[in-house]
Amino acid sequence: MPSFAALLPVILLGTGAVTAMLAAPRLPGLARWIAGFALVAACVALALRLGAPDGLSVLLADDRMSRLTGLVVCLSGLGSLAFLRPDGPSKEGPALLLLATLGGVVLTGAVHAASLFLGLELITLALVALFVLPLDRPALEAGYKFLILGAAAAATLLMGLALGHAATGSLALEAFGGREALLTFAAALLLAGLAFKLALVPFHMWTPDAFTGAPGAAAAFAGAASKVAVVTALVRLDAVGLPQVWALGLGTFAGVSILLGNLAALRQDGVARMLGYSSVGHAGYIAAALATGAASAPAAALFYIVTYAPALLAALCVAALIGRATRISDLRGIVWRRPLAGAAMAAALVSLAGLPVSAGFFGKYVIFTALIEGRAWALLALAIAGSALGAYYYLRFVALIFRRAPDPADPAVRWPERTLLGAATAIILVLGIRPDLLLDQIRAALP
Amino acid sequence: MSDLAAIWCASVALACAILAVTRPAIVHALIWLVAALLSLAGCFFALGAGFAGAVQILIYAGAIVAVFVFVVMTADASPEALARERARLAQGWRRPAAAVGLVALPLALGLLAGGTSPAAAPDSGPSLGAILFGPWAVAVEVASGLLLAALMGARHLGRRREEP
Repeated sequence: MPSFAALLPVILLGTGAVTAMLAAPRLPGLARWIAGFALVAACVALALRLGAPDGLSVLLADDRMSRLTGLVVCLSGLGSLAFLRPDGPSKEGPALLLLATLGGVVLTGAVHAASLFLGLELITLALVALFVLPLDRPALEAGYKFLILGAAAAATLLMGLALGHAATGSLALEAFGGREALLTFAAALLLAGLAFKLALVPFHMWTPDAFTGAPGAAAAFAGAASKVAVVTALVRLDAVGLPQVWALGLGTFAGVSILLGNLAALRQDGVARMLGYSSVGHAGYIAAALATGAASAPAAALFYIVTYAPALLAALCVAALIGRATRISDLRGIVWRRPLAGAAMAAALVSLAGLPVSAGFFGKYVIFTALIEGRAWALLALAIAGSALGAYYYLRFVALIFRRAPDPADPAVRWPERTLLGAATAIILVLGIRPDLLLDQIRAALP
Repeated sequence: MSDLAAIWCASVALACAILAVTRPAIVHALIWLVAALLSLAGCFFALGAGFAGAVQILIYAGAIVAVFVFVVMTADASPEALARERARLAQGWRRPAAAVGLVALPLALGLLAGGTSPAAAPDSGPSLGAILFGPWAVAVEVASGLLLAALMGARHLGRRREEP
């Protein structure tokens, strides 16, 4: 049983979700404030205990890694809340977002089959409800795809956990290390279940629909906060020493994801759809680093996903500001009309492309270093090709942002969105100059 | 003796499960599903896992089938729909069957390899309760959050659409 202080973030998010749900029908504005307050309080609770000694527990790890990644999950949740539009028939959006963040925080500390499954399912179910909030056709399609594929992934994951239990007699994840035949099947099924959440290629079908059909904030949560939590779970499982098939499967999924994700993104004119397909490619880089088994791979994977989160949040926020079906032409000259939105979009896209003086550059750098260290030459070649493709299609969008255009329609930017865009840009630029600020924290958090 | 009973119950469960997925009429499928779930409960009882058997009856044969009944009420049960389902079942069974085979393969392999038998799980109600209210209290609370999210989503989806 972990101490009260260790459970405080979970308690804050849980009670916040219930309070926000109760306040939502009558006072939707208050529900947003409650959700924001609960997220900030959880962030503070996690940040204050960052250096506390590790605690022992059956279900949830209370170590530096869970606190650091939990903090990133809460901050990304806060970022998604900033541009969660209150329109639509239901006002429960903030409560659902808090529940999804709760799932993410549970997942970052998961060291047991039960907490792993509960965390993943809480994220999935809350996200399904968030996806269908607008109740129109594209949103319903995104929600049902995510629900059905998510159920299949959950069944696969459960079967993997059951086989692991049959082979070892334990449900603790650290017991799953070994070379037995049953464990091999368990690792393969576990990987398939987790690859769905990370949107690696055979399991990525929900991503483009979610990014275009669902509200921008929900898609941003699925792409940023939830992936931070899943990468943490992958890093934890990777450290267990699972059978060979784990690394083999990760490498295969990674290679295909990098190639197909970037090639599909190349042909997209919709901003959200391009971001959706390219997120498949980005997940591929992370899986590639983890597949090599290099010593620096876990730090590289975590650094990459943490730098990816603010860029994706800023890009999706601007896309949501302009409208749901934002095409590439809608971005023309936005920096002259809305300097903050345009600059944030440009910084985000430059970071996603992995160009210097942005956080994404060092993200790519640590991934490539891990691939070289692990001597994974085929994956390295694919990653370089994918980055080149990425630079091409991201810069297409960046160039348009700065082109002058007479345009009357001005999207209104409210203060939460302004704060998010400013903070994300600042993080991207600061980490682009001083990546060691974050990298040192991550290295200290890894065992 | 109890082994024989368990094998008998398991065979009945398997046969009922196969019938459940091959019946074109949804009500028939549901009844076979109930039969499969109940014979699985009988299997648990025969193996001496009384608590698991009771939970199987209460949750699966009880609560989950009740949800299915609601689905049946909304499903189209006209003769045309029945014919459509028949046509679909005639060709669409191969891929699901392959998926089941893929998942069942490791189980069979594990039985042949004789994997280490899991440590004796606490099967009695009191010991399970002690775990759920002790070290697993967090998991119980998180599971309640899971239900809350599902409830909010279901309520939202069930909302009557406003006419444009």
